[in-house]
Amino acid sequence: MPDFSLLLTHGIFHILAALITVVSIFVVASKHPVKSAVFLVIDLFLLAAVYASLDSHFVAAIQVLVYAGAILVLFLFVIMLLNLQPEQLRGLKFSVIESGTLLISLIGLLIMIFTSFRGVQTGLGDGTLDVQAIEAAGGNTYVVAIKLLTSYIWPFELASILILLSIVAAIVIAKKDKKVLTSSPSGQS
Amino acid sequence: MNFQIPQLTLSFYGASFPIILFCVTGIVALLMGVSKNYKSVRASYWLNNSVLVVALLAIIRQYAVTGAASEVFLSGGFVAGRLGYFGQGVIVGIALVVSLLMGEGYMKPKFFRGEIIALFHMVLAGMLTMVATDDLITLFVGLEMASIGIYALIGYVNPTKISQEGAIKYFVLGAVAAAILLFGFAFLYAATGTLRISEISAAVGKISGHPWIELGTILTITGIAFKMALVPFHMWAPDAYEGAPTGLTAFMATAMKTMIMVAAIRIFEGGLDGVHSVWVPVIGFMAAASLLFANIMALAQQSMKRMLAYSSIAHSGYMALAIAAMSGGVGQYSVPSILFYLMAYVIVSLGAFAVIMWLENERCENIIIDDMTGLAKQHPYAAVALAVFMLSLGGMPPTVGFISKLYIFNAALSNNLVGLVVVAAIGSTISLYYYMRIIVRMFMMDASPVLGALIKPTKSLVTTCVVAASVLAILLLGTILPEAALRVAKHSSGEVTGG
Repeated sequence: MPDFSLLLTHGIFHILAALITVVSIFVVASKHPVKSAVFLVIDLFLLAAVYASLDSHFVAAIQVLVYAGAILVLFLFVIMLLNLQPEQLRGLKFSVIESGTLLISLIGLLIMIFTSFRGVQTGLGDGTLDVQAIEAAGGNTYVVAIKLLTSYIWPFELASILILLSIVAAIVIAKKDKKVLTSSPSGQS
Repeated sequence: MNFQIPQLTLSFYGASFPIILFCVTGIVALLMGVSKNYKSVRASYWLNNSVLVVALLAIIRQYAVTGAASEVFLSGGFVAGRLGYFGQGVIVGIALVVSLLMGEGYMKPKFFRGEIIALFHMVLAGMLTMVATDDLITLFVGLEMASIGIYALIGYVNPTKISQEGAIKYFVLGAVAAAILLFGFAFLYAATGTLRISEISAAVGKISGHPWIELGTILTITGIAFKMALVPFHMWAPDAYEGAPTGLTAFMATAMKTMIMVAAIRIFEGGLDGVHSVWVPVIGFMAAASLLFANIMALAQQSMKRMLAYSSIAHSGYMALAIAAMSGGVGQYSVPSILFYLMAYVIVSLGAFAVIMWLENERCENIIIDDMTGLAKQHPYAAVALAVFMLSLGGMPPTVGFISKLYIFNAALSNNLVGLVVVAAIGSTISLYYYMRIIVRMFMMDASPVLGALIKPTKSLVTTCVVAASVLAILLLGTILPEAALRVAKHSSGEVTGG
């Protein structure tokens, strides 16, 4: 008799993976930006479900809170502020050479991914942080917090500077200068 | 409840002092920009330059006291080793020279503003982080700090249509490249179970045939090649270099290159040497493509900055050649040759960009090659200096450009990369044409009154000193001092080559 719970996990994963693929295609294919954003929300929720099915409840919760919650709301705000109309976004046309290059790159990427993932043994890591070990150590959130504030304290602190830098950069670019966009007087290239 | 509280000792603060200093002064500069009393250009100028001098002195001291073995802090987050301090010293030195040059020209009030200095210092903190880490996550955070700040600086310091076009192109392509790089790191983590470069090195040996390692390596190369601007990932470089204010172009061409080269040495020599059969052909191909394509494209350029951008892509090609040559445990030749080449390239580029910055003014922000016509008659010293820089970039003896190329070729030949050396020699020959073209225009043609009219440089002590120092350094390193400089490079590279 096959391992039923394993079969169930695999089945759920495959269903979620298929759904994510379909929804992702909708994200890039839909003409209306708001529809794209909403599909992206669905996409991120489904991704959170994948994390949850892998017993990574903390990452799943963060995924929903940060991406589906905060960032997508910002996306919608930006779309609303820019007031993008569907017809404005239709200008993208590829020439034969460009689409040919794209097609070849895509096929190459697919071949690379298929050969990489065929018959690969996973779990080559040190094994100290598999599901049982995490449960024994006090659960997902606890383990992540410990790692974040011990092993990864240096990148964690630097990330705060990175975020500050990004905020300053965004404000600096968005700020309206009176003399902005005077093209260079010696305008040769 | 058994976990280790990170050891924040005094020696850690001493070792990472420059990074913490730049983080703090970045915030201080930001506050100064909004304060009533300290928002002047003068205040930003003094803050910036004094901090850079202090950081440079601190780094030199750390370099001097660091032994052959590197000291690891915070589980690999920060590595205090000679290679890291070498990179940090070069980067901060470049930043100091660029700031001084920026303080001379018409860009001074635009550059020395609180928010710009804040961005500049946070960029420096990111760069210093990236060259001195053993941890892929820290490396990525440092890279992003450097990149995001540079995107904003290109577009904002002197907002014109050209500079914003360059910034947007760099930003969009850079974001994709960062995602690819992170994807590569994720595969390396999935395959080896660690994010420490030194531990990856140990794990790679055991599972060398694993496809995920190979995929992760390929994706990592792609991300790094983008930041190095190797062909075919070079598309952003000419536009970003041309659009940025010239001082920033000099900073990008030299400091960004130093940062990414040191990181590449760490990753490829210190981490992925076990799978060199995967990455040597890729990097070799990109090096050859850069050497041929960039040198041919540079022939057709009219703008000085664009020409130097293509020249910078070609010089990345030479260094990539040496990276390909450090495979299979023979890094003891090629890692010092890369560091020596970096020193030479930084000195020459800063000199050349100093001359260009000196010639520019408010009405003439983009010097074209025709503007150089007859420069020798009006400004003979500047013309002679620029001629020396061009000869050095082209690799003519007795300049340092010749010696540095010699070391690179030597390293490549010691690893039997004969074909690549032939390609590099051909590329080098092509490059002589466009470097010589400028010398011919400066010395053998008369200025047309229309073209040269916009260039009216004023006297500048700082520019004179920088240009004179680089000419002197180029000639000295090219004739009597290359051994001493190579000893410094060997001394610095001991951290990864184990010598």
